[in-house]
Amino acid sequence: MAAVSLAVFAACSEQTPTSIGNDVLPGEPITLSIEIPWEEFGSDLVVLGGYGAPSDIGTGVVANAFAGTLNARTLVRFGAYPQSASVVDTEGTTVTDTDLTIIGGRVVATINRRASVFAGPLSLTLGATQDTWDLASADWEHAVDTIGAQLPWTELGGGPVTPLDTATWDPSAAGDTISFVLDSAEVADWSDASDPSRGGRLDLVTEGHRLAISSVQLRLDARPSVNPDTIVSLNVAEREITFIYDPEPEVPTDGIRVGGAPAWRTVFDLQAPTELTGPPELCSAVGCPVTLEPGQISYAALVLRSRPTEAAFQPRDSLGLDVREVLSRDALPKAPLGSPIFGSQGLRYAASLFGDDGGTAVEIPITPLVRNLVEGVDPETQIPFPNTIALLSAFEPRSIAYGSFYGPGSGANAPVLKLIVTVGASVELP
Amino acid sequence: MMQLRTGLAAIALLAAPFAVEAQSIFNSAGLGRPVDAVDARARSLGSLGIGLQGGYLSPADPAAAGRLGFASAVMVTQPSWVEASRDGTPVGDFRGTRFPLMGVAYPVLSGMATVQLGSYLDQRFAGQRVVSVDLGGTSHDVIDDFTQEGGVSSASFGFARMVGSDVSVGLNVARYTGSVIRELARSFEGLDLEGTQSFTSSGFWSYSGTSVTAGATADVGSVGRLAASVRWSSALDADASEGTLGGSRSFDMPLEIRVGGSAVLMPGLILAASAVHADWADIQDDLAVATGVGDTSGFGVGMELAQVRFLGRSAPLRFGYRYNGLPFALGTEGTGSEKTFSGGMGFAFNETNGVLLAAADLALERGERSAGTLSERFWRLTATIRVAGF
Repeated sequence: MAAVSLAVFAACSEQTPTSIGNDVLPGEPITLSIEIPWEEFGSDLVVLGGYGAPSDIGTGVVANAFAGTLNARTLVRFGAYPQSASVVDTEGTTVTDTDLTIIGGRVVATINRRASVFAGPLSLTLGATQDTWDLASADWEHAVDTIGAQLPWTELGGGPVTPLDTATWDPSAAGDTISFVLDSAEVADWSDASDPSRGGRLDLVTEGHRLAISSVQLRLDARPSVNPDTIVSLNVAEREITFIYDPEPEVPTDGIRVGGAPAWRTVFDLQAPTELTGPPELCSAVGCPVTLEPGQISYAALVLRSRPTEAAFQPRDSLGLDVREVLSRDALPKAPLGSPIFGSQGLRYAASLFGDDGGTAVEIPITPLVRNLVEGVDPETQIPFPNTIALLSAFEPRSIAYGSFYGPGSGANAPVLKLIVTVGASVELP
Repeated sequence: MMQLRTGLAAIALLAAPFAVEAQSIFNSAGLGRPVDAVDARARSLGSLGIGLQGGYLSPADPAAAGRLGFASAVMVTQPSWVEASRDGTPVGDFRGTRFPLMGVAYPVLSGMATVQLGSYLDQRFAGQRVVSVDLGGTSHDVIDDFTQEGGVSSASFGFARMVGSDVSVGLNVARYTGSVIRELARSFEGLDLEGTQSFTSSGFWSYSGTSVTAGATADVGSVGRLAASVRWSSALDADASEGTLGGSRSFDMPLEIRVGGSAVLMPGLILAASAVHADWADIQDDLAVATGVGDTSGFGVGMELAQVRFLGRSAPLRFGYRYNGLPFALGTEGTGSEKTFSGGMGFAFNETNGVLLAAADLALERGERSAGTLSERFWRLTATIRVAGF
């Protein structure tokens, strides 16, 4: 009996027979591809900027007349200095020393080569800011630009600075860091954490380049009281970083823009077809007109043609792009958005599409959004699905660079809605 | 669609014990493949479930329950392993398990009232085809997957009793139950496009209908028994659920006639034989797809060595052969047939004064279904648990 039981269980794992031959399967559905021009599916396109701030990225940018136009500077501010450290005293015992004498330090900047545009040794300077400035709202013109206060820099581009050090970064060398040496007085000037003007400004001296700064650290050299013959190195853990740049890009009048910092979004209304009157092979098979059902949309994509972005803002790294529903167009530019349809990473598009490979057709799949529009009303909430969608960066903001596409009115380069539609007769009993 | 799915799941669960599992590629033909609701003893004897010695529960032999002396119950499970081939070339292996029969008999009004749930038509199968579609002037392959889940079962209520000392008569009234889900899904994974979604078209149908089976058995002298039964069926109605775009349908069911008999050739040696005839021709007009239709005529013979003992208990050995036709043609292959050689044994767990209170039976069949160039060779194991006197 035990053997029987084993045999029965062995067969309980079903393997369904698969028929051989088509004659017992229902008739074949028809699948066809349709391309709809912008005029028939899109309208009211606007490009909106100002989403987020460079400080949200947590990295810096320095540029000097890059592409003949772009200047960018990085602003950093460090937190309170460490008040104690574990050190080995003269008798070899590790103790906590709270009486440290800071004798100098270094500001170490790390350069992100992949996101930078450079050639040859580059010279950078570090200066101490003098104007009061606000991390979240500072830009090229304003040190503070909040609802309650608007303070311009006393000099455009970060105000006057007290020069601290100049250093050279040689890209041909192995390292990706550059150090600026500070003496004890310069370190002491930065010690007051409550001073809103305290901070450092990193400038690129060499013209024609753009460097992405992935981090800036302040390392202090201190002499412990328990062992004055030694020097200990202390990291200042807290730091804030942003960047300011000039000129700000103009709002495009005939294109689509996504990315940048603050970020750009492109918003437009999407009209999905609800009825098909062709092509002939469809009509001959199931009769026309065919009322589209959401489940018949097998694939939907915006077909955009990439456009070379202004050289100063061309991406050097791939661009993560997302599409989201705009839940209330009337509330633009601060309208709430629906969930991302590509997840947290977005769909990645090569940086070259917005440079040398400009003019390439790019498909941005939006199948669930088009299915929703064909459905019309959310069956659970009975609320109509929004027909306004936004193209935006997956992380916002992500980089000073942005991607560009040709917009409506660009002739053969104008956006197209591509649909793959499958229509079949209902499944019947044999 | 969500409501439809929920409804389907609920009904599928209710019907699960008799939503027979797939065990043959011939399930895809017409309304499916008929499944006899017989126990392991009948299987091992090659029997069509009629005319055997003693009392037993069998939907095809309603009078046999009249010979049960005590309240009885039976449960049958049946795994099988199948290898399909075309022109001798293997085309696939599959396996499945079903529960073709559960039944209870209880003494009432000097007879036996019975309740039986049994399989009738197995419809589960899956199919796949590769279709070339033209998208923007370029040809791409996409895949159509078709699945059909479900089948037709029969829930019967019956009564049987002895008329005199040699004759037993019985009547079963049954309702067809069960359901089927047919779903065609086209997937576009081969297009190498981000975000494609499958196209799905499906339908759900619930089966209903009525059948009446009348039968009688008679002892012939002290060594033989003859039995016959007739089953009449109303149309089998398939009602499309709300949300199913496909239509409701109705199918004519055949009149089925069975005869069987058994004889004690010598002490401990029993010969059994049975035959069935059911002409499905009337259903042809009800099928939307042009399908060849035949009849399910068949026969079976077997032998039982009844006095074999194992571990001190009764353990009869059985052998048999069975042949029967399949009603629906599979494509261009024509209607097929099934042939099996079988063997098996019983084992009495508890036997008191010649009355089996608890027993098990096993049957192992090696068989072949074939139609034209297509054939299936299979092993089929049937196990039965019988209890009585509760």
